[in-house]
Amino acid sequence: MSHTVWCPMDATATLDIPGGKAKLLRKQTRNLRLDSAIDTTKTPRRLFASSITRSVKTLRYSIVSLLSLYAATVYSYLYLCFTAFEIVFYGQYGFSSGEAGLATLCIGIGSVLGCVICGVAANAVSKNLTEKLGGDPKPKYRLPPMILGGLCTPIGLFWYGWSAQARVHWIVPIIATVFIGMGMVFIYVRLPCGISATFHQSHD
Amino acid sequence: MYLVDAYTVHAASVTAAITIFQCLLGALLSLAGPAMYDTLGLGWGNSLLGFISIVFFPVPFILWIYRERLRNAKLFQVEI
Repeated sequence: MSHTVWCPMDATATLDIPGGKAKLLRKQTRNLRLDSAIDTTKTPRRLFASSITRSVKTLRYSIVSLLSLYAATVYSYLYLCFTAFEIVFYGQYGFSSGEAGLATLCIGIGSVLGCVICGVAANAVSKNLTEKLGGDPKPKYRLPPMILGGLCTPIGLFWYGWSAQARVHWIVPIIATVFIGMGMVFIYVRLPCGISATFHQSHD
Repeated sequence: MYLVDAYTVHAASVTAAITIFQCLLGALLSLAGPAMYDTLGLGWGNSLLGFISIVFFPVPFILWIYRERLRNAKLFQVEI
């Protein structure tokens, strides 16, 4: 624990003391109400069971289920693309199986581009909004790049789908996959960051 | 009493929930993919995916506006 803080004078304060130290302090100060903040009354078995099921229980928060549905949808498009590449490039454009595999490179390029743009944009937007609206930087100020992802993904998908349908030159659908990769990164890199910041910030 | 630590764990659980959901859907949807492309063709098949992601487009806006309200609503508070 890097942030061990205790205050034996006030027994009602939230004490953040590891178990062993709490025991020692109870002995030293003879204050039986000193308790470690990470100590629970649960048995190890129950603690394990509740910890392992907690993530499923959090899906009952509407916000978590909505976000995970979004992340899951976008993430599944990635795997759907891998399946579809075989049909499109191997089947339709007559690539060899090795070349069809190389087609996935452009999703990779898109993802790297997305990571870079997302990192730079999120910081810039967050700083800008903090200055504009005043006060402390909030986790929601880092949300706007997600909007970009919401645009990039459908644009890439429509472009990729219809250019492959029209059997135009293979580079056209490949360029579209750069946008798909970029949009996916915009969405599911931003998402868990945003939500963990939300849950963390609210109670500390 | 346990709020600080409980909520740190909470953040991890939320991330885990998202990951579980992602992997499940990722595995299942790619199984359904070829059948979908057979039926709808490449153009409409991918357009369907595009339309679904357009449906999700307002999510960041919903989050921005209603986040505090959604999180504090009694209905969505779960005893963990």
